[in-house]
Amino acid sequence: MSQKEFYMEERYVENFRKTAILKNGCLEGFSVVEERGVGIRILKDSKLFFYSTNEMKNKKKIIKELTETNFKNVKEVHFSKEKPNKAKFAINQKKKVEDVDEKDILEILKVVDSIFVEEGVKNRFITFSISSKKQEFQNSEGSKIVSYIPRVILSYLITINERRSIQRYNDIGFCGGLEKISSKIFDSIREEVKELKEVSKKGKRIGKSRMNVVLSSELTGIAVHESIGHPTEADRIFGREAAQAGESYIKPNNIKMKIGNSMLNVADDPTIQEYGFFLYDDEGVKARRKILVKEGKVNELLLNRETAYELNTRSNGSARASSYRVEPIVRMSNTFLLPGKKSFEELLEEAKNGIFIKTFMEWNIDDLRINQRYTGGIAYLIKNSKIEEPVIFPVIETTTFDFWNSLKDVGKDLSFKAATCGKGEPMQDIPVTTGGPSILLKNVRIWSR
Amino acid sequence: MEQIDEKFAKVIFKTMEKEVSDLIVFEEREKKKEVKFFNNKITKTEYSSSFNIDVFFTKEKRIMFSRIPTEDIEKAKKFCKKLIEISKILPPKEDFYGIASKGFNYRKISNFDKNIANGGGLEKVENAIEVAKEKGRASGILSLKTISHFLISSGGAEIEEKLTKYYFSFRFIKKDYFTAHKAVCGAFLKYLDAEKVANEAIELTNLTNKILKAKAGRYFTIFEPLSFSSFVSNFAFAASIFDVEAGLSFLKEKLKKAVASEEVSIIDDPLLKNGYNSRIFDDEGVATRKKFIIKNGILTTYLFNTSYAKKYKTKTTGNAGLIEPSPFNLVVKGKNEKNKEKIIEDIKEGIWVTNNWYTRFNNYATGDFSTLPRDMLLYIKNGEVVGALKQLRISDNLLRMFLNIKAIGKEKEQVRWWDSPLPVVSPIVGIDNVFFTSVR
Repeated sequence: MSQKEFYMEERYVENFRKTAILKNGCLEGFSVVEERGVGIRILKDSKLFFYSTNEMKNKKKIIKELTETNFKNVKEVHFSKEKPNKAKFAINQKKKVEDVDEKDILEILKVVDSIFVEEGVKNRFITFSISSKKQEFQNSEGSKIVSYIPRVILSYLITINERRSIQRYNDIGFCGGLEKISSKIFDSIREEVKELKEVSKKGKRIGKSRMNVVLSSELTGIAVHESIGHPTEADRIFGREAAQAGESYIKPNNIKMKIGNSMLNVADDPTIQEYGFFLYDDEGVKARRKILVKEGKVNELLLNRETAYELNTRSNGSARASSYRVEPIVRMSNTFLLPGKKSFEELLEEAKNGIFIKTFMEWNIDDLRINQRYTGGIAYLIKNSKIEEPVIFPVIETTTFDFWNSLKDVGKDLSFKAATCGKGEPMQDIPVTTGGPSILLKNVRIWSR
Repeated sequence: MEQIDEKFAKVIFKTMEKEVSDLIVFEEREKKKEVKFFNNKITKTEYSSSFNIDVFFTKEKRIMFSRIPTEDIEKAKKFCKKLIEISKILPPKEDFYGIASKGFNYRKISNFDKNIANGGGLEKVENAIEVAKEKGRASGILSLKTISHFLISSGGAEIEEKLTKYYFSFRFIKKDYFTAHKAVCGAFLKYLDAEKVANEAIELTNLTNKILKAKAGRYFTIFEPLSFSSFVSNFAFAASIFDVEAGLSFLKEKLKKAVASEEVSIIDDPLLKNGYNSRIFDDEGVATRKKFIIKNGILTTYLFNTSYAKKYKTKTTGNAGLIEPSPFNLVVKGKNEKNKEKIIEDIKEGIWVTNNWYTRFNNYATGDFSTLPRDMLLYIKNGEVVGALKQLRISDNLLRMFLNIKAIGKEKEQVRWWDSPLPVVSPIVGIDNVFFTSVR
């Protein structure tokens, strides 16, 4: 786009959400939210402006005033040239979330709560939400995208107090309607509580040592999200998030750097119908699978039109805005470690002795995405390739490079987990999935918290 | 500044009033002006305006809370009728005891700045950029808001207020990735000296250019206001009776007991002059008031709304949140406040944390957590900064840390940021035996 060209886009968004909150078996409240509004982005004389409102009066006047603001220290912003798109997409549901009976929502909460009660869990905080986002996007280049995405999410935070106090926070979410909540989910919740009770009752501490570690899909997914997904967001690499989500160990002059060994292959794919699904991004660019890391090296960054221009390339459809109120920025979608060939049993066989970590509670990573930590919730010792007694709060605290260079083998049991990812200011929480198969890490420093 | 349009909220109130047991309609109009900058350049200028109406109502102890569509009054009325129908099938919350029917004598405190309301202030960001641009890279945000609130309740509250807010976040990055972050907030532009904020951040990065090998262990640690604010926010949320009941609080069964060193008091002050979150009424229309959450180390109260207060046979603290009582502005007060220089001078060996993020709890009920120092992390020996540390993490327990508070500074600033969504007026705070882990 040439410097003097004028660009404008409008995202008209209708959000619908029903949420029920249950605390220790008592319905604390039921909420229905319907809101509509428009987010308008303008590129004028290479300056970027954003306006959002849910009142249409005075819109033109305010935009005129906004685009006439003038500062001394202004960055020239350009967008990559992209083909205009016209498209409509929607997710099919058995019953539209807007038409779901509140009784059905309450019934799901009741079933989940009864599982916890039967297992003797006293402190239970559960929320269940069904939502939809209807969006009409159009820009001055001729793009027009109409989309409709429904989502459901069940979240709980429970406290297990058999011997030691253990808490578990879990999000179970899908792109689609209420039919996504199946009895299988209830079975897995019951199984999880039973395991947590065993860990609380019998979990043993481990001293600081180096061990082989098998991580479940849940742990693989969060490590990929934090230490591969975020650092490959191009806006961070250029410094645009420096005062918010931070920057990256990847630098503008080293965008093909090596992160881990050749077993490491990571993709981000919004076209998979999981919690982070979309087919066109919030700049109207067609979404596609990106191979972020190939055989241990950075292969492709997550790009919007602004960062694609900086890199003299095309956007790969990674711009997302959490609502009409905020500008679209570079985001992940469904980000996962590509599966390998080994079964879970084969990973245990290869580990021989070590630790298996199935769930986590506490985790964090630094703003360059190097220094990371994951503390296990459900975890077990592996002895002679068999899962044995539970272990209490095993901590992996390491660097991104040590973590991914210790990757010894990759399972084939790929699965996805819903999560909410935060970035930007004001904070933009968006639905994503973290994903991957089970993996084996060799010789990892580990201890009990 | 536009006149508050009471009509919409009142029409909604009248539509629902006779069909429900309790009703609160809350109207908010907000106008925002904002600039985002990075690498010493403004990258985006933003305006926004919004008009929102939230309703909270009960029907025979069945609780609903909703944001209603506001583009058309007839549509909104229809929506509200639908909400009432939904409420009929909900199970009752047996321990709900109603909304406030008294406590409506409001203090006349203004946190409204005409300068912000008239659209001025964004230019201040240029002063900060000018200070930084020859020395390194500056990034951040300046946000200015003008807000009107109107509340009407079936308990008899009817009140409005006008507020303004500023928020300025400034992060400075210089050679070899020595970084510092300041994030200040308030209600009146005259208190925002963007140039001073920038200079203070730059000065932090100039304290050393030497990187030392970091060693895990327990250290006497001083926390800058921005860093300590994240702990204070977490502490205050844990004081909400909702969190206590849900098993999400390490303050359960700690009322009237020591939860911090006697050196420290934490106050929730919704009436704070220049407070970023100051409000003269809470979400059920009760007049807000200043209260000690911790007084000289003792937990003096949980945070209540009217219903929770009745349940626990006490008085509301004016902290509704109708579902979850919440604090407004937090203020840290010391028994023996000292100059920052004196606190640093007295340190034989210690660490100075200037910012942290990713505070995550392993267990909210015990207070076990970890957090990552971000920006300058300084090593102090015999009262002098001798170098910077990298790759350390705080892994501790929030209760234990508060009980180990040893020093509280005099000079305070009002801060908020990602890791501290609540505004906190805090000085530098010194804590003994803070546990650091290392990746090596």
